[in-house]
Amino acid sequence: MKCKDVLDLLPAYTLGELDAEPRRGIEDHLANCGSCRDEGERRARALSAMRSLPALETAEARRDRAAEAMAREHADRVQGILLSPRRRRRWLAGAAAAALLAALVGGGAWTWIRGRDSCSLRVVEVRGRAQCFRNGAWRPVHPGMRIESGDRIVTGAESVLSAELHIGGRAAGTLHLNQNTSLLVSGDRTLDLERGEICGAVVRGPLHVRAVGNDTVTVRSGRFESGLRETVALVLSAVFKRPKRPENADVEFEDQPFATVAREVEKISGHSIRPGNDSIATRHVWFYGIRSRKGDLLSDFETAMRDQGIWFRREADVLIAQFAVTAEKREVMHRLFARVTEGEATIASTGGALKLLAGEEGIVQTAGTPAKAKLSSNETPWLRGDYYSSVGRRKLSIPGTLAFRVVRQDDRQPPLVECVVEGAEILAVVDGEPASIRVESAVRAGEGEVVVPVRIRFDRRP
Amino acid sequence: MKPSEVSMQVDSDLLTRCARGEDKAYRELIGRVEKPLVNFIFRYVGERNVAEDVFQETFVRVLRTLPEFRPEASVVTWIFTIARNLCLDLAKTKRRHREVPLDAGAEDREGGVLQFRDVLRSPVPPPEAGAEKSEMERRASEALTLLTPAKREALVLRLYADLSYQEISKIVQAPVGTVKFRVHEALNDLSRLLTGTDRKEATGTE
Repeated sequence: MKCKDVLDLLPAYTLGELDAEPRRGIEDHLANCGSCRDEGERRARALSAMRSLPALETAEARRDRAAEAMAREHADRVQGILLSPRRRRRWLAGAAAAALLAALVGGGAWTWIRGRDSCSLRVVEVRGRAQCFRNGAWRPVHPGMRIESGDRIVTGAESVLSAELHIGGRAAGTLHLNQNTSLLVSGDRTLDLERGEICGAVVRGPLHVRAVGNDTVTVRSGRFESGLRETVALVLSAVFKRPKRPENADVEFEDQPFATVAREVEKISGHSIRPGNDSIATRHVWFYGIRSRKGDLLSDFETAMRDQGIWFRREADVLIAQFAVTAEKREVMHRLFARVTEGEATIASTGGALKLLAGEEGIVQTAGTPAKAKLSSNETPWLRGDYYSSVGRRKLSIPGTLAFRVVRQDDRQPPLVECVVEGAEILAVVDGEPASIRVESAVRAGEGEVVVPVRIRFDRRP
Repeated sequence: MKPSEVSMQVDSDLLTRCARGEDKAYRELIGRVEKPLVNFIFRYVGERNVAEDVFQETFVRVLRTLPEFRPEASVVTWIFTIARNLCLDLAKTKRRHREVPLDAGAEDREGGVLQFRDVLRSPVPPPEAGAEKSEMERRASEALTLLTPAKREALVLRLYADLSYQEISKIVQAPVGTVKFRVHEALNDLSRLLTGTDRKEATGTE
């Protein structure tokens, strides 16, 4: 071996990348050649100097920061989809057009496939770009295409898709995917909504829609929407100033409610929680990821908190719980609390509207004592408030401030539900300043569909 | 044992859970690549505070580009690719605003990479215990910054992230042979930089 060859191979030799044979060749040469030996030693010294540079150790704080950043990104993304008026219009227009189309082609166009409980979709219309992942490859989605169990269907930005839903080979309804949605068609009457939003109507259920965090919405018949639960997070983040990262990640809460909450959260879930920005005299605690299949953890947590006089807003199968405490009053402003006491979770809060489906029990509270309602009819009474309002530069969406209670209930007829919306005060932010909101109308509603028009007045707080 | 073999096995199920917004999944994903990734970034950018920020931003990008991820690709190389691109962006910004040190107020860097503004302005962990660094360590880390970016990234990925040449080749988008050559050249350069010998002397033949 010549010096030139040896010098070429020295780095590989030093890094231990050579096979036995060339290695021996080099070693033989080095034993006899002083100048190459020097070169070899210098490379070895350089490598050991590099290797001895101290490594950064793993750190909980680093992981926390990264996970929080991801959670914020997630919330931002969802907020982008839901609160951008342009996109929203498009979604609604797309969905309406798709619904019309589905109605036109419905009936005769259903095709039948075998399989007892498996779901499949037949694509009716694609606006924009959609892809299907099947057998390890992506393929473009076109009208008429069948999406089978095990397939994943993904819509791109500014793209919506409509499909017929089949369960066990029988036509079971319609389904619309909003833009940036990822849906896994699973077996067993299940759709896994991994991202984005879907809505549709089921005529032959039950259909299970597993949304963010594995919580399942079961629809037997009627309209459904899913994926909108993230609304809660983003609505609050729009209403309340979005929490910035605290100056010091380990800052301690001095306010008793927070200390208590933080302790309880950690005890129950193992998650540590962080304060948000308190520049608007409000502090927030954001729980991302405290969840359990049936909300057991949260139930314990809620009970514990309720004993402390703190109420929570959360959704049925628990994804995100949030609350805010005013610095002066030390009192929870949001007091909307909904829970499903039996059966599968079929209660969802959608963009400020609250809907209850049959067979559920819910408690919704604004101010005053909690009101309780159990809806046992097979009809689908809807409680819907239109809370969108343009204030200052910001479009605010105010989550439910409804109290409702059953006025009359017996087993033979649908319950009469009274819905009261008055004097509810929730915290809002207008142009970065705290503002008060008063709901001015009170409506008494009866059986069937309940539509609650609400007029909301916004006042800047002095 | 290579980290990529055991600790960095990331299944698509985990990514799905990340896409759903599950906090636990985020932490799992972060935890699996944390050490090699943060050390790669640290040695690449040279400053610990910046490295921590790039690390965090990497995962934001992971989430943002999740829809484009092909399940057949390796999650690990994908994450490293994102981190590497961020480091490159940062280097570009740094070059463009050479007169302003990176740790100066973010306000000074008008026109810089905007995504990094918040990141750089954000609170950072306390500075590392740099004072008691040995002379050799100081020289070694300095030498590292003197390498050309291509050589530095290849070496850093090899030494501090402990990735295979195949993986590095995917991350830096260069053939395996080229990557190997860069690593070897980097070691040659370092040995020269650290022992102060002139290149011609070092490569002189017998």
